[in-house]
Amino acid sequence: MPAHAIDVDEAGCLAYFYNLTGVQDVLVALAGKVYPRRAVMSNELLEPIMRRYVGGELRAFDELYARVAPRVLGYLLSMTRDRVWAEDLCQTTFFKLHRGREGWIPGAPVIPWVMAIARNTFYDDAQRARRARVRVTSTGDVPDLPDLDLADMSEQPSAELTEIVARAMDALPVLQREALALTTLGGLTHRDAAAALDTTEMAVKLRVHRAYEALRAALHTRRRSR
Amino acid sequence: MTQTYSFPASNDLPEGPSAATRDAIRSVIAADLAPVRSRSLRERALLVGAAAIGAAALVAPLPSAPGLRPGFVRPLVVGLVAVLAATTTIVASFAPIGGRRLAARTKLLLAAALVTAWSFYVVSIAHAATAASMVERKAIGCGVRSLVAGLLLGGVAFRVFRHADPWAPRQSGALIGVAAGCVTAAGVGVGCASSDLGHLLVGHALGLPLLALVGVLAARRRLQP
Repeated sequence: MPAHAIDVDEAGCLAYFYNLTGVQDVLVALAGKVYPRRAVMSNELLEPIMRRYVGGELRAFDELYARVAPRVLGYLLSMTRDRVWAEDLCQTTFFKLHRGREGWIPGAPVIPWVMAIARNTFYDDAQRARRARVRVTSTGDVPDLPDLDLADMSEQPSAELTEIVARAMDALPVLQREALALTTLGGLTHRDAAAALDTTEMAVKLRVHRAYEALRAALHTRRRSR
Repeated sequence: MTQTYSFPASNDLPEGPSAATRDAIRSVIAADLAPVRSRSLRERALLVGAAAIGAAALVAPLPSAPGLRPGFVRPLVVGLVAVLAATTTIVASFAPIGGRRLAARTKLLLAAALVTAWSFYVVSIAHAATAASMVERKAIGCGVRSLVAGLLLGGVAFRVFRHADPWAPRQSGALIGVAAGCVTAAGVGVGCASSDLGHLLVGHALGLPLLALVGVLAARRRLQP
């Protein structure tokens, strides 16, 4: 794949890593750089697919799944920080979608509907399981955050910065983390994210902005504490 | 001072679930993929409207019923308005208006407003000289009729909009309950001769919050996908 050289704003305390589920997009967005945009999911594209799926066409489901599942998983990964759990919830989401497909009103946007189901699935399961959000070491201890040497970033193991960013995301208020997960990681527009969260577009923008500010502050604090 | 890094650019979709997850989902879907009828909003509105008229007619005595006295015009008009308002309210719970759905808080406020408005109306017609002059009934009789018919109407609305609200199903359930209660209370009012305040509150208004409660309890299972 082609490489892109980009400048990192040291004052903004940013670094770029790739192949890190969820973290990359957050870091890129923090940098304010234009990342090669992924294919945009539009409701105009999905609505006829959904109609065909409701009509009983398996191929339509395959198309819907191919377009929607990565976004659903991205959102669930950001909320659970656990791949196995997220995949499990992803399955449940699609089963619920299948069971409730007659409830979808033809012409209504598909994305907010699907993401709302994913959101409910996460909260229902989290409430039921009361899972701990703190990841522990093999001995059961909570690991300390590694020191980060930004002057020598290219030699820093990517997992460490991942941990820092992941911790910072975990510390976000759930509303901000959700908004960030849906827009940055799920690729939804602010409008669709607002529809999925049953709130206003302005509220989503505000939450995302505050989330970015909190992440910037967390990374900057980490850097300055060295 | 800036530092320069490089990373591979990708314009692909983000990584999706594993192949095992995909296959598991697909196998279940494929085994159960029968066509279902997803009704349009207009069709659902017509169904709910027809059910509302039917529920009101179920509890309102016919003009030719024995013992029926003239003077049912006002309650009949109220009944028709209630049918229209209830149908609109129920449909609005699930349909975007101007691109936006009703917020959960708005639904609750609307339900509370309907209960309040209907209670005020009921109080206003108490002891009125021109109260509906129909069959004499006990409050419990009116209340049970209103409640049963309201449950039937609410059940139809729940069926028509099954699995249609993943956002605020409880609030939608409350709104359906109140709307159904308004319709059937109005229908009962067409044929009730009582102008006693206690009778009107118990027999013609109490059903609304009760049906709202039933709607809330049934909503998660019926309205949420």
